[in-house]
Amino acid sequence: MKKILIVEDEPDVAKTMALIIENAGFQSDISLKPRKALSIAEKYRLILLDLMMPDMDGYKFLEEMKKGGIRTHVIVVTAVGLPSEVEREIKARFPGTGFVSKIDIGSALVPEIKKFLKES
Amino acid sequence: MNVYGKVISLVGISLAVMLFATLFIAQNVLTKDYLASEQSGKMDQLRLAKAEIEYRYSSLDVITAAIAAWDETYQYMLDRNRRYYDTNLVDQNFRSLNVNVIAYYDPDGNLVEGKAFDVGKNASAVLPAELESPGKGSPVLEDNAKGIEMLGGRPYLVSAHAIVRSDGSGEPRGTLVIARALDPDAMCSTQKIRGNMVTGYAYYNDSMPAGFLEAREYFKANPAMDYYYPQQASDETLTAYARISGIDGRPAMIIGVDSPREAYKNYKQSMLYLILSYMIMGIVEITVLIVAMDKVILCRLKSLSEYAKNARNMHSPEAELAMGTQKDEISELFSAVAEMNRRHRKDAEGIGREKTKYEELVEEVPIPTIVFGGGRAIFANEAVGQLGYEPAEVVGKSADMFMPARHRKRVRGKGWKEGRKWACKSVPIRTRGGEERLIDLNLMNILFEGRQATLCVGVDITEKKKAQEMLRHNARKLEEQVRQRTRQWENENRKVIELLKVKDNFIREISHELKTPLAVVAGNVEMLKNFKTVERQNDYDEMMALVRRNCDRLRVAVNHILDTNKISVTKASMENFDIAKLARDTCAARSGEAISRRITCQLKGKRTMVRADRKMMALAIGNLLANAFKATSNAKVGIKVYSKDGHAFVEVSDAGQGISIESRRKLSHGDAMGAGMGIGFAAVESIMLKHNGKVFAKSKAGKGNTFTLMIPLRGDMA
Repeated sequence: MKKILIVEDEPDVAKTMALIIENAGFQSDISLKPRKALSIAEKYRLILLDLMMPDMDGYKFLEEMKKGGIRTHVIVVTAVGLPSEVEREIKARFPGTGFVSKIDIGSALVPEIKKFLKES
Repeated sequence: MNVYGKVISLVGISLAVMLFATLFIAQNVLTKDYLASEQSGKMDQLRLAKAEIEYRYSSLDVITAAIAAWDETYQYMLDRNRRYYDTNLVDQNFRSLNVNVIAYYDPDGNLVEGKAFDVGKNASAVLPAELESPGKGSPVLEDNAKGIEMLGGRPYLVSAHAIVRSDGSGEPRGTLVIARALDPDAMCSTQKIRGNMVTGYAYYNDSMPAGFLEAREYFKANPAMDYYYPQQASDETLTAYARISGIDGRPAMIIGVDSPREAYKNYKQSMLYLILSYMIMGIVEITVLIVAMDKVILCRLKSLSEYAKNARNMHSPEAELAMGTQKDEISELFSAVAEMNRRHRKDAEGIGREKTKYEELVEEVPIPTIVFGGGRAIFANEAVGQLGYEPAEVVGKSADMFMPARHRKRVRGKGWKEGRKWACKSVPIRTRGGEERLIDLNLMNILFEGRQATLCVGVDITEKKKAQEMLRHNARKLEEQVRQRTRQWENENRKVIELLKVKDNFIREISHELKTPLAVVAGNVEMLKNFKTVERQNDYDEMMALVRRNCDRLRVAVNHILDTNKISVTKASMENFDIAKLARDTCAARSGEAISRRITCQLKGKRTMVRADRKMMALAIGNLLANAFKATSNAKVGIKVYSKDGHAFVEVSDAGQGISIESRRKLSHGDAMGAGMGIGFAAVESIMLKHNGKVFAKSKAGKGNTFTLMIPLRGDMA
């Protein structure tokens, strides 16, 4: 079973997401460096991606994935701006990408992951 | 005679002269040209009528030539056969050929056969006696003879041809003569063809109308002339005559061409209208002139007098300023003087009156006025007192003391022309007291007591110039103030825009800074709801640690918000202090955190005094250190303090991964949140803005960041 990759520069948030995922029965790896994550993205079944990171932001990460032909599913998990606006922008620019507001990870992250894994 | 009478007489005389000139030109030039043109047209018509008659010669000649060349005719002259006679000398033939006489002669000129027929009456006629036995050598029997011949007292077109074979061979057997009478019907047909009424009479017919008889007398007296154009007595019709010679060269008939003189009548009518319109124009002109004199000129003279009276007591600078702008009034004074000149120019008695009138007129004007003659003042009004002079004192003085050199020659009489006006602007003139005044001189050449003189009116514009200069100065000052205010406003506007940008970034940063720890807390609390602590004690402990740590983080974030808000609403409390010492103290305050993260904090720099808000600066340095600690672990964080070009610099460098190019770009555009710099950095920016300072970053991927505060040494405040 392929793992889920968490790309998040905040260690506490990454750890919390890892705990939530593992609690639901999934395996995960954490990457605090987006550039490094990009090189291993293809090996994972799903990526949970933060948007605001100092090294490379989430938008750039998604563009690089597109350029590199990496087809791994992505769920954006962010605390940036108004969730509804960010979700609309993400889905417009990168169709097929999921979205969960960081503040709702306790309740919304696992159902979103299950939905994606079922579809794929 | 008063001025009304004079002007009206002058206008009346000029109009009468114009009217007579028009009549003379119309009679002697236009009418003459018109009549010449009419005569030329009439002669053309006459020539056309004559050409038409000559054409009739040709058509008759063609018939004669054709019959004379028939072989049957040639045979008839030999055997006189009855068949030819019965075929050709019948009435029907005369009618169809429209001829009156056909006659055959043998080579000796004896009549062989001849017949006459009156086409109009459709009956046989008597052969004219002249054709009974013309005899050999008669011009009528010459081969190819054609023309008009008087036969039996009546003009005929006659054509004669030798009778030969159709191929031209053999000896001629005689002559064929065919004639056509030129009767009134024949002439009428000419009229129809050419559009003119043409009448013809036999040359020697004594019962012709008077015009034809007169023409015949003219032709007798002038044998070389073929046309006669008499003086036309009637305006209704116009007649011209032509003489037409016969076969023997003698005059045979006179033709006359009549036509109505419609164009001539129209021309005469137009002339009448022209004269009438001149008369109406003259009446209107005189009326307008009377009204204009009454309403405009005399009124203006009256208003000038009124103005002079009213202005007598006006002597304040404001009044002088107003006077300076009254160019119209001066021009009216000039007009009045010129009018006076014209009135008395040729009036010896008037010259005496003129002087009195001048004095009256000029004395009433409250503007310094001097009359120069031959370069010296010959009259001055009371208003020269404004320049400190008495009128009597001025009279006899040279113009040199009143005007610049380039204008003096005119005052001395050079190029003098009555009524010529000119102006001389801003002439500096010294008053008797030695004060320099600026005067606008208005000058006009006039006749004064019968001699050439120059009227000089000087308007003092010194106060006006001063006022204008003051206005210009004030306008410049105002303009400079507006420019300064605009610059200030632009600077303030720029700062407001920067502050708004900082505020926006701050709000976005708050959102992120608060949401991130809250997400951790909320996520873990959600899991803890159904957590079995006994089975997973380690996970439980980890979750609780995460919750605690992120609650602390939330507290820090809230403090940052409060700090930043405090900065924005608090006025900086400026004091002098050593910023190197402040940096050292701030670093020492974070030594616990440094030890826990195994960070070595190194500070370089000597005493650097700045004037700033100490607490704000401590917060700024502290926030930069916090960011540096966050980016670094197990490494060195350096602080360097120095001064340069009136600014103190505090550099905080870490050994972290550095920030991306994109983040650096965002940072340089004031987007600290987009650059991932955190809420603390927003507070640093706000503090620097408050001190007219700057914060900038240098970063190299993998080699850490350097954030520098640039603070004015002397303590500038925004």
